[in-house]
Amino acid sequence: MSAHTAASVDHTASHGTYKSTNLPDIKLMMWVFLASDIMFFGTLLGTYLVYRNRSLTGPFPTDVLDIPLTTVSTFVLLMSSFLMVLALHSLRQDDIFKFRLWTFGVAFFGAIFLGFQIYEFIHFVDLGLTLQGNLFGTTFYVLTGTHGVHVAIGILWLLSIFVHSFVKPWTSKDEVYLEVAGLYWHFVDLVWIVIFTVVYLVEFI
Amino acid sequence: MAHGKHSGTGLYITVAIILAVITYIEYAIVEFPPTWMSSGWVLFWVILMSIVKFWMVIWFFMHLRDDPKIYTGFFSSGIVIGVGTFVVLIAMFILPRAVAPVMMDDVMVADVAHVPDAAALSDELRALIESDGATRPQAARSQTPRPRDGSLAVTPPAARTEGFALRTDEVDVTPAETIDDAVEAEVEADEPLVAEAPVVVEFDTELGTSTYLACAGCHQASGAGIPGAFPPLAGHAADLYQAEGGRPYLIGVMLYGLQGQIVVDGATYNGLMPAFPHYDDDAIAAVLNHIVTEWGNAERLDTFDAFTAAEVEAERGQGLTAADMLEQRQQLVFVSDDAAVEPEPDTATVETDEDVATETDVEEPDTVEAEVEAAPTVDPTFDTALGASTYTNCVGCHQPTGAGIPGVFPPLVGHTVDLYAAEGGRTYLIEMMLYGVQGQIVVDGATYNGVMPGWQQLSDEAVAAVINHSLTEWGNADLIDDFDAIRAAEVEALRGQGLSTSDVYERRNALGLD
Repeated sequence: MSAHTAASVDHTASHGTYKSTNLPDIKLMMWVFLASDIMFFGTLLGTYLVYRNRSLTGPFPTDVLDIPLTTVSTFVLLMSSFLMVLALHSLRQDDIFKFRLWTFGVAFFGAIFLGFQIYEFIHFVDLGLTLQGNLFGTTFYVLTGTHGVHVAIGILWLLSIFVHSFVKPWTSKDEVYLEVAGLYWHFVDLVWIVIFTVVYLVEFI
Repeated sequence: MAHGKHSGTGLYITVAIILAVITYIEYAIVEFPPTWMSSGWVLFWVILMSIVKFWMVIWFFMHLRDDPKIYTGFFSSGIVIGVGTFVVLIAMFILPRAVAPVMMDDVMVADVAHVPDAAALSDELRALIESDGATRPQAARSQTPRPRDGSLAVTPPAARTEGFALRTDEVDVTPAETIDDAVEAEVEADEPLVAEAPVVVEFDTELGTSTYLACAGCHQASGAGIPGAFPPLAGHAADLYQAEGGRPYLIGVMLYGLQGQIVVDGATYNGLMPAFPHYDDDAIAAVLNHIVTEWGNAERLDTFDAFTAAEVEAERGQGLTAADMLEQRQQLVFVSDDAAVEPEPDTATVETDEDVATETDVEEPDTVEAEVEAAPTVDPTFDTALGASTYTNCVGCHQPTGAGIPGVFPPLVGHTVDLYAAEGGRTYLIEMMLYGVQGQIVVDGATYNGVMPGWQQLSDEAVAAVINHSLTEWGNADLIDDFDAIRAAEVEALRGQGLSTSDVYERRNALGLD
């Protein structure tokens, strides 16, 4: 990127703009973090697949996994991603009411998803699937649990934005802060798209 | 910020609807697969749809579409490295198993280098043959593709020998040929042989491999067994399969176990094969198919007709014992002369039992006496003879010395005493005997990960006696201050809980050992 191009780029979101790239540091950092998180989840998913079908004792995936239930929770998470883009869009339009509404909506949908996961985990433990019981339990809980922790962090983050918007009113100038939270949230959704396919759907094909 | 192409919410709504619809289609196609679509295609479409969803979220929701490409670059490099890690993991752990049958080719090719004629070959050609071993797996992999259902083609032994004869001939006749030509000739010579009447081995190889993990503790991952205790399966399983009556016998051994001295290729084995009636029909069929075709066994077979779950089911419910299976084994008629020579049925078994009895009697009294002298406080008020005789079931894994086998079976020396002393350890010892235990354990800093089978078939008295035996043998008695022998009634009280090996494993972890 040449200096001319850089200079011509508008500085509406100039918070922490790095001089040579003229891009917001915080956003670049988020993308770098997401890239590293992909490797993290790639390793967990790889481990899950390496040990797939190697459990000597049950319960086995098809004994416990419930596709209709998980389809609903997947849908909820996808819709939360949709609300996320609406929230960002509203903030850019300086429509603060809608920005707050959608941001809260994202956190709320995320909480529903997490509720599904907690219900699922409790149900699975009742069925005898534990972290130490067999290879499926170990790899399944570590993979989906790590994802669940990501979702929980995302919910806290969005709620803190929601609360902060009352303390110090947000305007379209602050969009980059919502944007990075949004990137994180969409990423969590992305990971779930993969987990839903590889862990849940594939078992029933 | 370069978000010039600001799209209205309309685009986002469209994307969201498409994502929802795709998710619904994924669900529908998996739950109610169309009859005309094979599972392979269902998998293909589901993966494709997921990739589309993945891309749509990145492209529109995370608006990489409108942002400077540097973000895409960062994220893509993450994906490349992440997916790369993933692929390497899969390749390291799954591929080697998938191509394992090919390894036998390496062995056979290596043998060619040792035939007497090889000495006369020029250095160049010898180098060719040696390097052949390294290049061959790739060639063989492409020649025998493995379909998704896990079937694989195996060339019958006759055709192979012919192939090698052909190859060595060629080498002899044309010593001056360039390496490239020779390699080409070799590939040409091999190809028609594979097409020629292969024995097709079709079964759930994955289930077979995973089920075999439970066997590997004794029969070893290599199928070589443990001398004196557990017979090899490499070679032997194929001979049993080909023997008259071998097919039902193999199923029977899995369902009812086997006990008593046997002879395989002139070597004597006297371990104990526990019964696995609690495994389902599919798993038993798969593991039998696994052992009959692994380790080059498939190459010993003229024909192979895979064991089926229905066959296993048919053999159930006969109520045979491990001793009955020994008898059945002695009736087998082996096909080839060099196969196992079985001992004379009547005389040999009787002698065997006596041998075992005298051996244990001879070895163990010394130590027992020494212990009694050293620790007079311990009053072994249990049936020591029953304990010692029951322990013969355990020696294969835990060894006559109670030292176990590193990495697989934990030592009993010192260790059972610790278990006994732990809170709840008494109950645990009995439950572990009845229901077995599975999972990685640590004893004195060393890790063990074998499988302890459950022994519900033993009487209450025998279970109690063998635990008491393990608590007082090998100097263990010295380590107990106040020994209160396990009683048969305690064993009886803990029966009928239907615990799994992992339940017992959890209880072990709850003991609070170091």
